[in-house]
Amino acid sequence: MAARTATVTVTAGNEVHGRDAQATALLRAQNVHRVLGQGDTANDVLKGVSLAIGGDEYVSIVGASGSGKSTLLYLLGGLDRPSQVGVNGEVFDPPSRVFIDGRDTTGLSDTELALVRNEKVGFVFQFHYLLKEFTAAENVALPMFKLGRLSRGQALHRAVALLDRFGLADKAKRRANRLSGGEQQRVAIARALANEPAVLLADEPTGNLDRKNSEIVAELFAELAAGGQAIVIVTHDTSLAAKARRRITMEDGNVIGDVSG
Amino acid sequence: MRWFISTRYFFAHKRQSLVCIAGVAISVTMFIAMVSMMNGFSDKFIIETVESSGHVTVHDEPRERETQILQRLHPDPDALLVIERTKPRETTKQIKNPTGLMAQLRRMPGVVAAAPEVTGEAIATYGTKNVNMQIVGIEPEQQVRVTTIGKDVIEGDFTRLRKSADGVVIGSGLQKVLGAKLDDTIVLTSTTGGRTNARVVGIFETGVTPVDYSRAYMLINSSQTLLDKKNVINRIVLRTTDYTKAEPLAKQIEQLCGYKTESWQEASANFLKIFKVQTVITYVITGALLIVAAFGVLNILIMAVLERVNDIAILKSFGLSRGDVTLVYMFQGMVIGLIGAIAGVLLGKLTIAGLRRLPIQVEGLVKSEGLLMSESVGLYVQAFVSALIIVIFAAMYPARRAAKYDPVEVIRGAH
Repeated sequence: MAARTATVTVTAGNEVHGRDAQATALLRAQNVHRVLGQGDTANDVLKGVSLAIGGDEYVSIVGASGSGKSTLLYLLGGLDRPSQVGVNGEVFDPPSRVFIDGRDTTGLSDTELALVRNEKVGFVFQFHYLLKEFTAAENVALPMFKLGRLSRGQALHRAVALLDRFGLADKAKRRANRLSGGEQQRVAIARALANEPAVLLADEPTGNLDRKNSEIVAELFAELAAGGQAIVIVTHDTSLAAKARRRITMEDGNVIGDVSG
Repeated sequence: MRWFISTRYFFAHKRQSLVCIAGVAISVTMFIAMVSMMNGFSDKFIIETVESSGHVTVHDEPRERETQILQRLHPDPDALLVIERTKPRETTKQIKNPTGLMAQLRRMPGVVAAAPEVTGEAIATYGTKNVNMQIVGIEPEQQVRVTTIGKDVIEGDFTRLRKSADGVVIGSGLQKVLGAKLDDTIVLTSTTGGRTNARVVGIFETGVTPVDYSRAYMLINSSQTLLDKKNVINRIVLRTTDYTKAEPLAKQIEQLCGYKTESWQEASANFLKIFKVQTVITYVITGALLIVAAFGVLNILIMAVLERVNDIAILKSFGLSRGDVTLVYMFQGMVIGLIGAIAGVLLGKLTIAGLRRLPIQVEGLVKSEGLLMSESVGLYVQAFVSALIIVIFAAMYPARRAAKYDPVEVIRGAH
C-alpha cells in the first residue's frame, strides 16, 4: 500500500484556489472526471474539476440540480472513485485523481479507502440515515467501534458527550426511529464527528428539515467551523451557503465560481 | 462491531428469524433421529451377526476353482477350447488336520479362540411341518468361546447337548415355524440320506432374523453321522481381539493355510451393501431437509438486505468495507445457523430418548423390543457441522449481494 504523494504542481485548465492551499490541501481534486452509466447512456457528470480545500476551511458548493456538486462531494470523501477514461475512451491528462490528506486514493483497495473514510471523513446526508435498530448513542459510536481506538465503553461515553454538545443528552438511549427529523440530523452530524475527522462533508444537510431545524443545523456548522473544523457543504439553501467562508459554484460539471470572504 | 450489528439485525427480524431457526432445528433433529435409527439397526445387526457367527471362518475349500488342465496349458483367453462333459471329482471336502491347524491359529496374534464345525443341510420334520435348516455340528465348550451363542439360548440349555446324544438347539424362528417346544422330538433328514430323531434341548435367539430362522446346533459327532461326513471338519470359526480388524486377519490366515477364509464383513457383504444403500438414502433425504432449511435462511437474508439498502450505504459511508458488510450478513446467517443447530442437537437428543421408549415390536432383519437408536458424539457433531456449513453457504449469496451495493447509487436513488 504505497501512498503516492502528489508531484503534479500545475493543473491544466481549471483554476486552483491559491498555491498555499494546494500545498497544505486536505482535499485535492486533480482534473477529476466522473462518467456515470455506460455506452449510449454514458454521461459526463464532472468534466475535469481541479480544486484544493485546506484543513480549516468552511466551503459551500452550490449549483443547479445535476451540476455535479454532490458527485464531487462523494469523490472528495472517497465514497466514490473518479473515472479514469472518458465517454469516448479518452485518457485524461493530467490523470483524474483525488487526494485525501495528501494521499492519492486511486490505488487504494476497497478496504483501505473504507479506512480512510472511517478515519478522515465524516459524511452527513440529506436523509438522516440513522440505523433505526440502534439507539442514538450507538449510532454515534458505530464509527468509533469500527476504528477500534476506544473501548466499547469509552466510545459510548464519547458518543453521549457528543450528543450532549448538540443538546441531545436526554435522547442518547432512545432508538433512532423514535427521534424527530431535526434530532435525527443532529445525531447524524454527531456521528460524522465521531472519529474527529479531518473534514465534515455534508450533502444537503438541511434539505429535509423545517426552517427552525435548518437554522439549528446552520448554527451548528458555523460553531464547528469557528472551532477549526474543515467543512464542505453541498446545498441549495442560500442562507446556509452564505455562512461559508468560501463558496464554490458549479454548473454542468465544471466549477464556474470560487469566491472567498 | 460486525457481530454487534448482526445480532441487532437478527433481533429486528425476531419472528422471521425464529421461523428460520425452527427450520434449521427441525432438519437437524430429523437428521439426527433418522441417522441414529439407521445406525442403531445396522449396528445391532452387525454386532449380533458377528457375535453369533464368529469373526473369521476358515472354509474347507480353496478360494479359486480348479482350472482345467487344457486351460492351464493354453492360458490365452481367445483360444478356442472346448471341453465337454467335465465332471467335478467326488471328494468329501474337509479341512485336513484340523486339530493341528487350530492349534496353529490359536497361537496367532489377534486370535482369541478357535472352534471346529461341521455344517450341512437338513430338513426338520415335526408333525406335518417341514423346514429346511442348516445343521452346525459343534463342540459346545469350544463354541461358546468363539461366539455368544451360549448366552443367546432363551429356553433350555446349551450344555444339555452333551447330556443327550441326539440333542439339538434350534433358532427361535425355526421353533416358531415348526411349532415344536422344548423337549419335543423332531426328525432330521440330511440331503445325503441320513436320518435321526433329535430332541430339542434348547432354543436360541440372536435377534438376527436370517440366523434365527435357519440355524440348528448339534454335537459334532451326531452331525457327522447325520450328514454322512465321518470325521470331517469343514469349518473353523475364530474369535479375534478386535472384530473390526477381521478382514486383514482373514487374508493372513488364508495365505497361511490355503483355505478360503472369510471375515464377517465378507460373509455378510450382501447385508452390508444394503446398509450402505440405506445410508446413502438417509443422507440424501436428511440432506435435502437441511437444504430446504438453508433456503429459508437465504430468503430471510435477502429480505434483510433489501430492507436495509440505506443502512448498507451509511455503514459504508462511515468506513465499513465490502468485507465488513459481507461479514455483517454472514454473521446474521451464522447466528440463525448456530441457534438452529444447537436447538436441533438438543431436540435430536430428546427425540432419540423418546423413540427409544416407544413400545414397538420390530422384526425385520433384526428383532428387537422398541426402536434401536444409536447415539454418538460423532453423530451430533456431524449434524451440527453440516447444518452450519449449509447455512453459511446459504448466507453467502445475500451477504455478497449486500456488499456490492454502491453507496453513491443508493444515496442518489433516495433523492
